[in-house]
Amino acid sequence: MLWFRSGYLKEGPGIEKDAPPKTGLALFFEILVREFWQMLKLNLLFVICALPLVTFGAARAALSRCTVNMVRDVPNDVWYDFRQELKKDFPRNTVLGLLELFAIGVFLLLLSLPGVRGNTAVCVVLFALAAVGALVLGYLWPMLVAVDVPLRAAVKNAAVLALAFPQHSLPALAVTLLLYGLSFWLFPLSLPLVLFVPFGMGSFVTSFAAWSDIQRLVIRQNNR
Amino acid sequence: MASISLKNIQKVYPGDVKVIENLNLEIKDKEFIILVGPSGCGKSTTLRMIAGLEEVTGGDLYIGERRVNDVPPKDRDIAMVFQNYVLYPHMTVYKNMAFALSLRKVDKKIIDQKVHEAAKILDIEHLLNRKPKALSGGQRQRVALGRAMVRDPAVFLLDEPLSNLDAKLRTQMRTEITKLHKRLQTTFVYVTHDQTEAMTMGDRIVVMKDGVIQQVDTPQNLYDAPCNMFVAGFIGSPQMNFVDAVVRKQGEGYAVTFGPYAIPLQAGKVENTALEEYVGKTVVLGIRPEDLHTEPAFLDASPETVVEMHVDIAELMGAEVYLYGACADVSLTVRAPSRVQARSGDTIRLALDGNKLHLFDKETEQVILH
Repeated sequence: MLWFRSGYLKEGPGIEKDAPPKTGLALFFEILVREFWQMLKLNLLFVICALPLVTFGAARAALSRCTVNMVRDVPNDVWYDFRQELKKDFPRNTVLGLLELFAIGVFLLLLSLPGVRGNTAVCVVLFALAAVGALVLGYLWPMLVAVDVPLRAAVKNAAVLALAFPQHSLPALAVTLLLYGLSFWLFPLSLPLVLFVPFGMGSFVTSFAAWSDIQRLVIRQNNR
Repeated sequence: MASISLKNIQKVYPGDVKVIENLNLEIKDKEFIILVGPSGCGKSTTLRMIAGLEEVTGGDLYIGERRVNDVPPKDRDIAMVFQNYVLYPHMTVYKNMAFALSLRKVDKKIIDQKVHEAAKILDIEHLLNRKPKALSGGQRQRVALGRAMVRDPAVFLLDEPLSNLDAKLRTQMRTEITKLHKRLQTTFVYVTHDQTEAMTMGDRIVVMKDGVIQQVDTPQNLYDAPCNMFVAGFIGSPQMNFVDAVVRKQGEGYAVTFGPYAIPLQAGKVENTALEEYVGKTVVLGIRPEDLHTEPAFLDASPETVVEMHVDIAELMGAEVYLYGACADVSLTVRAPSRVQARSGDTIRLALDGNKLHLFDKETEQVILH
């Protein structure tokens, strides 16, 4: 069985230790290609663990932990890291998760009311609030799993960062919404897509967007 | 204790194919021992028997005080590094290195610590999250070494680990492996067909041919005092010159003659009883290329050992020049400093260093004197 032998033995280009690191979109796509299959596994893991809803928060934290590890380019094992983070800070993450689900529920409920749907101004305010909430959460979860800060400080930092760096957070939100939209558009036909794509990749996109700001402004500030 | 004892080891394949016959070898704890020889001499088979990848047909194999003939490889406390790395292509470098420990259910924190320690020593920390397909040959070999290191084995077994690397990288990795041995203070058993690797890396070298150990000694002793023509020709580059010569009595001493030349043998090196039986017989005179001197000082100091050589080819190596030619219808190779101006077509005078002559029995090929 030597079909794959040449590919298996063929030398790669090598990785230079002192090569200048990639940044921006080049880095994004490099990580995406490298960790693609891990993201698919991660998505499935998240779906399974978040289904009971009460575990949504813990699963959300675990999802962020794994994607932050990918962005940070540290050795990661999706199965192990997800499991570890699921157990860690379970009460806090559960509460946060339930609050997030509650907020999503309220948003959807309001949106379903004819009075709200017909009122453009109210819709705009509703969507703006939802967007701000999503942007803040995009910074909050990575910060909670990767930085040792109290919850109140994390929320404050997340709010400041989300609003201070819209050039990072807004494109990330747009891509994530696109992923969710594509995945859920033809649901239940798109069930396979839902099982493997939107949550893992969405979390990766938001973690990637958020992490450089967190590292620069939170971690390095804390280390001073 | 990680000494290795091979006692009367035999390896016979089906069809009564005897690859190794009655091999005896003692490897000391913390020693860096090299098994060297041409392809098919049984060095890899010996290594694989130590590893447990090949069954020992006869004899006893001990690692430390424990007889391990029937012990599975995973229980022998050894780690092996292969020629073609054998990394799991679907796993990252980190997972490749951690795999053996994770199979043993070692705590994750300890695995993490060991992997990072090994990665730091081998300077591959920046590769931990990468897969083998992105790595160069040298990087893959470091990962293979790291995978062996994390297991803290009693014995490292390395089967031609540098064969797939280019010359420059091979030189670099040779040094790395030597440094690693000094750092880890563990027994290393290293197989190679490259005598340069053998000479530069080992505490002792085991020269093998056709499943039989020819000689076991330090690199310098092997080089200076080979026990037979095979060892003399195998060790050293360029190869030792072999000249058929006849032993003659010369006054109170002896000389070896070839063509019109009679090269006297140094009085202090000669035992009468050893050479007496060879008088009038043809022996093989061995002399290394660097022991043929072109410098005037040598030519003047020992005129009785001077011969003339017609140069056919001169290979300039940079710091030195290799001269290939003929002397009295005998092919000779000379290794001279690069300032020697001799080139193709020239006839030069050479002085043989009388202290560095070797004589071998023409039939048995065993050494008579060196």
